[in-house]
Amino acid sequence: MNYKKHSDCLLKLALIAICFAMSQVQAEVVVVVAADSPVTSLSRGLVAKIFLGKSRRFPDGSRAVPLNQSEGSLERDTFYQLVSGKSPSQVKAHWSKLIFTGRGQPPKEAADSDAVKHLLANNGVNIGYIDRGTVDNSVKVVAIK
Amino acid sequence: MIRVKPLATVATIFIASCLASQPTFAFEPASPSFTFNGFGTLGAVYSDEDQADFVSSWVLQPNGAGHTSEWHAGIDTKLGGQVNAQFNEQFSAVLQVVVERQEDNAWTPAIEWANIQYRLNDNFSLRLGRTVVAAFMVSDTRLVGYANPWIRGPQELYQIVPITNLDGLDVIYTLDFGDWRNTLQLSVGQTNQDLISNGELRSRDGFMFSNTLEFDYTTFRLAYLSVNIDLDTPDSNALLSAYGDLGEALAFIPGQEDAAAQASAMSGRYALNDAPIEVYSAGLRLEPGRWLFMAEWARITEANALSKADAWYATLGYRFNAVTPYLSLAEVNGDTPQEPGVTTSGMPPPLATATDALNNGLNQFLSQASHAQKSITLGIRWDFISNAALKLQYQHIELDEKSAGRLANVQSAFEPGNRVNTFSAVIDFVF
Repeated sequence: MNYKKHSDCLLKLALIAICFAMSQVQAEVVVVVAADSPVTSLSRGLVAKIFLGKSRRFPDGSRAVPLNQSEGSLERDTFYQLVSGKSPSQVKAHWSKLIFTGRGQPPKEAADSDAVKHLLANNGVNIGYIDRGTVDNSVKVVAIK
Repeated sequence: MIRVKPLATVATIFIASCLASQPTFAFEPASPSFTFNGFGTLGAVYSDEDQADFVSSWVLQPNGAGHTSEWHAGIDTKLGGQVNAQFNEQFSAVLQVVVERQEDNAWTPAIEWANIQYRLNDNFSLRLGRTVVAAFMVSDTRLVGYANPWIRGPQELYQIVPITNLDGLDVIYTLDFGDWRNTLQLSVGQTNQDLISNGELRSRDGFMFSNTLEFDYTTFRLAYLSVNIDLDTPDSNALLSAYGDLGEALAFIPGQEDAAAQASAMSGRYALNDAPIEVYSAGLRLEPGRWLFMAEWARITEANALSKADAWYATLGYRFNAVTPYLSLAEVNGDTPQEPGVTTSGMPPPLATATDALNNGLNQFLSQASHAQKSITLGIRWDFISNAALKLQYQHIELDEKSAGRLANVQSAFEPGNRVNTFSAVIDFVF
């Protein structure tokens, strides 16, 4: 009995640990544009193309300038996994192909979600991704179809 | 950069004449911005064949692992640096210099890319200067190990084209329709390149066409290359001119008229002088989720000493987070010509002996110009930090019974038809 109780307890602890670990790697990331942007929804494929240097336009023809979060950040890794299914090193290998054939440079980087919001407001860039918890009225969440 | 400047002027004039109106962009960078990037590979290769060397390029590497030394660090090791200049939305320039072991065994820097790019609009761009001949799917990043799944592109296919760069004009036209994307590329140009054995390769009238279709995780590519090449080394020149001399000598010997004609024809048949080569290729890359499948097929047409060859490979990989094991099968077929040479019957004995030696030399030369082999490769890539990957690769090569395959520095005691085992370990990085 004692032994069983003990193992139940261990199992619960393990489950809690796993849930905690999962919540850590599953931050909820949303794609955002400036609050006054005409963009409201985008396809997952187009978001991937914009952030992987394969498209420079929104569907209405206006120029899309993406903004990354810093390398190794949870937001960044989650975002690319979500829109392209690519791991951080696959994204880096993809950019290596473009950079070293003179075809492009990766998006500029912002330190965190707040920096993304700030830069979107300043109009140097016009599409980014942030943690859902940091969304405020300075940005608009883009619906991903 | 200096050599690119006159090209920039030409490009400006050419483009100004094409431009009816200046396209407008929402975000103009205020001033030219410069970016520096680099890549490199640190690696070593082991081969168990002691009568020939494993190399990664038969035109650039005079020796390697096996005969020269069991382990060799000069096969994949390299360091590349690149400066990118973005002048405005339309104009940019790139200069990439790579230090790797060259044909004279010296680690001298070579210019891999040096061009100025003009982007007319989202779909159309033009480059003037040096570009890489993208005969196959990853030809243009073949030196950037980090960008590729394996340590090096399968030699069976990637080594059938001796030229790597073209100095000239390159046009890219991209068309997006929905989530599909099609990229058409045309290049024209020429190049000179030093080869092993003090040789030289001159490529003229180079023309390259490729079309790449991308959809979601699928990439399909077709390519065609046509180029006229002069490829000679002092040894091959001496051999072929000796046949010319033999022909002239035999013409004076009664009854040897046929042999004289045979000898005189040999130089014309095998000299690579302005020889037209054509390469056709098709490639498919699939990356659904954690899987990677890549396969390519290519054919090079016969050109004098270079025999016609068909090559293919297929790679399957599966990614477990940071670790990706992969398996490749590859094969290059090619006829190794068995040239009977000049018939010696009725020749005075000393001349017959010399002619036999010449015929042997010719067949050795021809067997070196043909590369039939197949191989199976097992490898693993581990992305152990964010900008570097460790790769380990075992390759088992079966050589054609008449050729030395892709091996170089072939010794006289070498026996064709051998099985060769190689093991490679590298760290690929980018910064």
